[in-house]
Amino acid sequence: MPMTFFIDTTRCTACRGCQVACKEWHDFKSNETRQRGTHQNPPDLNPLNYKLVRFAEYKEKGRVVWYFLPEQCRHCEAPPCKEAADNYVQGAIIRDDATGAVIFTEKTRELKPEQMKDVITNCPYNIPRLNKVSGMLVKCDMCIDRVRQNMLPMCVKSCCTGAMNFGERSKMLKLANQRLAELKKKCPNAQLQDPEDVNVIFLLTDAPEKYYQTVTG
Amino acid sequence: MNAGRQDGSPLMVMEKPLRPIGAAFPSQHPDVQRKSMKSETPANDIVSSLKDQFQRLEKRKPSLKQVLGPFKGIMIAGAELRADLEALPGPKMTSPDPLRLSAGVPLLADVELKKMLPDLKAGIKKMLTALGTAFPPLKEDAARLLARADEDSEAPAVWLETLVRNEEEAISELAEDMGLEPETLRFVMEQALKPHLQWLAHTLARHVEEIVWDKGYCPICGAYPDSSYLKKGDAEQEFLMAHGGQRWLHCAMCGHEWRMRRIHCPYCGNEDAESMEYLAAKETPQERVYVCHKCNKYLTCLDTSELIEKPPGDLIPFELLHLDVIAQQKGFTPLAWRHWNSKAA
Repeated sequence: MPMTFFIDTTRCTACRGCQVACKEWHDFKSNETRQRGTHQNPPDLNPLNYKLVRFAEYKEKGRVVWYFLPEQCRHCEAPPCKEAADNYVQGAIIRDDATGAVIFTEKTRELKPEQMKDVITNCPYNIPRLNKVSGMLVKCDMCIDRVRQNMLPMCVKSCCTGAMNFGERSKMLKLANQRLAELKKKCPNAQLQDPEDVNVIFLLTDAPEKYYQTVTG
Repeated sequence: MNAGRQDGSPLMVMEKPLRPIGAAFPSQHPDVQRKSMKSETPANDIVSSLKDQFQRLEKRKPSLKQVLGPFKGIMIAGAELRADLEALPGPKMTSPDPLRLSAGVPLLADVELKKMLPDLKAGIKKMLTALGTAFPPLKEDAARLLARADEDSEAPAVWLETLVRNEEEAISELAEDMGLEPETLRFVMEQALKPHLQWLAHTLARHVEEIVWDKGYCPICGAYPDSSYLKKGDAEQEFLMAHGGQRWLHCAMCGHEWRMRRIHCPYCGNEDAESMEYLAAKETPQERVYVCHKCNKYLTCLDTSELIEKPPGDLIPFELLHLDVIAQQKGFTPLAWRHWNSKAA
């Protein structure tokens, strides 16, 4: 039974605890950034940020609406990145049977630049990044070292609002559907993103493209 | 990347780990949420879930395989027996005197158990067969106890009363009569009868749910805990979700679980935070052993707020076995001597 994240964006306050905890666990140094007029910082996922809270704001009917999306790899059931990589280097991208984690291995170094590009563009969610220092393709690894020890991924452990949830797929699907049914009463547009295809299921209350252009695969 | 802790890695003493004091306890009463931790899983699912949990634990900690091996067969047989017992109507018991309970007298302290138990023969046979398979040197002793139960059908209930009341003299007398070491007899009797006691505790837990119980021994059978765990509160919070943990103690005998303040030694009642601490490896702060410098006792504790899934209470002592070793090396003694934390066993 694969493990699944359920991310309830309605509970997210964009504190970015998950983003920082992820960096801490992976021992990533800080990014040099500058003020761009948004709280989204750094501006995008990068080799030192496997997790990023995306911010999107709109003015609707005279009110400001602000959407938060704690972005990360979806650990797809049938990962298109792996399909692409398998054409070039077997074992560059693997899927762990026990947890369902999609893992980029050191063998991604063996991919040629155009092959890497193929892997990156094959991801419907715009997740993989190239670490120019190590020469590897990188992304969220589900904290597989923790998960194998029955410990929650760092982003989930650090979440203080209950937005990030993690557990066996059947339990998370149940939780997601319960929460969806509850929210539908207040927010008719509430929806789960690609629950059949991915193991990181976002619950949104508005059109996916309002959160980020590639929220839906 | 941080690696998961390997068994046997050096442990460090965490500084002032118990603060903030009582963060999880807005009230002075430790019993605000005193619901028992009764499982709502159907009985047969408990058996398959236990097997699954054993498998996961062995995978996570391969070094435990050897010690888990024999207990695995016994515990699975016990879970199967529990599943059969759950199908029976629960034992009848008149409402206990709340004053006696509040004064610290466990529920089963002076109850005639034979009136509450079903026929124990089949269950005892199942458990003693499993015991003989798990520990071949005890096969003959198990057979002798079974023969005794055949001779006197009321004997097993009396044995259970003896165990619950910890009547050492009675155990020694019976051991002498049977030509066994008292500790061996106690072990064999305990394994034969534990599922029945667990079933009693499970079905009678409602009697102790509402009382204030601040003792370190079990409100049902009076035994000390073999482990404890911290868990998040059950209540869904509207905004922030507390990570803090309620502390629950797990009874070594009947498996009942009860909540207790965190800054409180379950053995001597010490509440001075300066004289208590916990030890944990740096890489696995969720695996702890709480020690009291006043009475020199220790109790292992698993912080489940860090975990994807809480292991069943019966498996937590095994999960934290390496901490028994460390605590004993440092001169502390356990609240409950168990067969796996005692050199004599």
